[in-house]
Amino acid sequence: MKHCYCWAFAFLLSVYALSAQEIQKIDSINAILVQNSSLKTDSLLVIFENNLKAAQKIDYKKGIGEAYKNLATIYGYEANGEKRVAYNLKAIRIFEENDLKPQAANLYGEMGYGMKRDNMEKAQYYMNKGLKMAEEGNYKEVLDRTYNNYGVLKEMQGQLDSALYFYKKGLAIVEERKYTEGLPYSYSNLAGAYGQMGNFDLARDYFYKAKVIREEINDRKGIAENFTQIGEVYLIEGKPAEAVPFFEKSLLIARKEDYRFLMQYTYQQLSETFKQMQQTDSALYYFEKYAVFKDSINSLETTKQIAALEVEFETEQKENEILRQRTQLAEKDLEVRRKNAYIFGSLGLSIILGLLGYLIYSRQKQKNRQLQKEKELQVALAKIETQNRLEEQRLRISRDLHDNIGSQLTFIIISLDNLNYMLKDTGQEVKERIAAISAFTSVTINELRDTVWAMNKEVITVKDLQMRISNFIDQAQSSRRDVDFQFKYKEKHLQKLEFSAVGGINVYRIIQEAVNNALKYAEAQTICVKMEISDSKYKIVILDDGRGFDINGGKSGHGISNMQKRANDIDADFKISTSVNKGTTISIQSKA
Amino acid sequence: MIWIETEFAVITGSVVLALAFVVLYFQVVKIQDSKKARSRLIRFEHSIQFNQSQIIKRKNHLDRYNFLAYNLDEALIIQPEIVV
Repeated sequence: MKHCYCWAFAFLLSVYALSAQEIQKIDSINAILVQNSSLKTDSLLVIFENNLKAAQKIDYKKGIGEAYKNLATIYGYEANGEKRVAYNLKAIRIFEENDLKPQAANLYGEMGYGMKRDNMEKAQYYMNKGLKMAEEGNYKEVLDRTYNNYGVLKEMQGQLDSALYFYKKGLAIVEERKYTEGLPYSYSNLAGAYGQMGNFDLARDYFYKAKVIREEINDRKGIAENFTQIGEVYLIEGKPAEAVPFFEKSLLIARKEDYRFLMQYTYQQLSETFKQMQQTDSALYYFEKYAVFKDSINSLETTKQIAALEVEFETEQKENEILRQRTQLAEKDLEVRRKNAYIFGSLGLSIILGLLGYLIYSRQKQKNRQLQKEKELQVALAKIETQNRLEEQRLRISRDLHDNIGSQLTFIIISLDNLNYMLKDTGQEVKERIAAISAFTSVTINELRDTVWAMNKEVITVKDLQMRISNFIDQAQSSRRDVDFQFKYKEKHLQKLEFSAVGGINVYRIIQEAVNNALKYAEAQTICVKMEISDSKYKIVILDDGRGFDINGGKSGHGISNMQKRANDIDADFKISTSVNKGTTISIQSKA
Repeated sequence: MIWIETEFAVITGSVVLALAFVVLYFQVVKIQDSKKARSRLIRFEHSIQFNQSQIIKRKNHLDRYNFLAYNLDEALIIQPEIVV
């Protein structure tokens, strides 16, 4: 297994090394300067076409682009405008797709420069594009050449000051970069501008300077150009005879180098020169030579095809731009939708959290309400349990009291009765005394029972009292049929009046005592008990038609004093009115 | 586009489902709480009623007291189940 990995690694390494070697070879070939090469254009064409294929084989984009560019240059020298434009466009496409901006900027500039004689507007457009790209990226290796070429356009448009400005800018960068191959271009361009401005000596100086460097670097085509340019200066200066040798020197080199475009131009200049020298035969001869070249180079068909290629390229650029914008729109749309999804998701989460919060709050509130109710019931239960226990405790104490003391008192009564019986032979006074003690004890035991009962009973309602009184009257009636008992009851706003247990008992005992007295002592025929209840007041009257008695004469019986005492105990007014044979009226009334 | 529409549907569906679950859960919890609270309240009410019945029983016995008969034995009836 290890061996396999090693072999695979070695294989990949070798592949990588081979690829790197191939790339280096392609770059070296692409770096050949067409204008400096000693090779003929046909040979150069083959070399660059093979180089293109090699780059395409390994899909080396930069190599492909540079190869296209070099092929365009060669076709340019061959004055094949159609192929020059086609290859330039191919190269630009490759450079732009692969983000090779310096190369693209350079090629825009060169393409525009190549169009300067056919379509100045287009030339300016492409050159501006290249210049802008180069300035944005500060590609000095592109700027030096492009400034120079742009200056040429300005010069062709007669804007010599602008031309000089751009030439100097270009020269500055070339000198800064120490780019020897670029110096002749700058010098030649400056020379041309000075020549047009009439500074012929300066112009010629710069041309010679350019030629010297070109001879050093063996730029044959450049040397040919310089000879033509020097000849042009003499021509403009009005020295046509001195121009001719230079034009001929240029033609010699251009022919050898197959630089057809220069040949066409130089023929034209020669024709013009001989025209100035009024040698019409020679002028015509050279003009015909020029015409032949012009027709083949600038045919209408070629112009149309170049235009069509440009349109195709521009269309492709615009379609790419549209696609790019559509992609951007789609991305923005996706972004917006994602944001919406995020917002909706957040909103949904907020709703859930809000609902959760509300439900928790609601549940807590409900719990609190329930706890409140429970607490209230707990308190009520505690109260009622306490009340119940207290009452039960009281009742048990009362019961004990009744059982113990009550029975003891009863024992005393029984004992006294026995004693009375045992002492039947003693004097009457002793018997009476014992009977009195026995009666007193009986009263005491009854009082105790009433008290014990009242301890446990909090209130007696008026209705209850009325019922007890009524029962008493009925019992009295049933025991004494000879007496007419009446019970009259009147009520008004009954609900407000309640008697305490002690109070109720006392009222009852007063009535009981009064009736008993009326039966025992008054020998009454009619006994009437009236009870009037109104709001929180009461008035009870017991009247009889008996014998009556003198209230002032003699001592008042215990019965009346008991009634008085009971009335005082319940804070009521007690009145008794009686006179002999005129009956008795006893009233008890609650105080105001 | 379809994927994005599905995404919205999923989000909305999830939110609705979550809401339904939360509401259902709290409803169940509320019912359980109410049941427990009610049973406690009922116990309290039963206790109160029992105590009230004892108080009423005591009162009824006390009301049997005849002022003429002095029948305390009938009026004072102890309820031994009451722990004092």
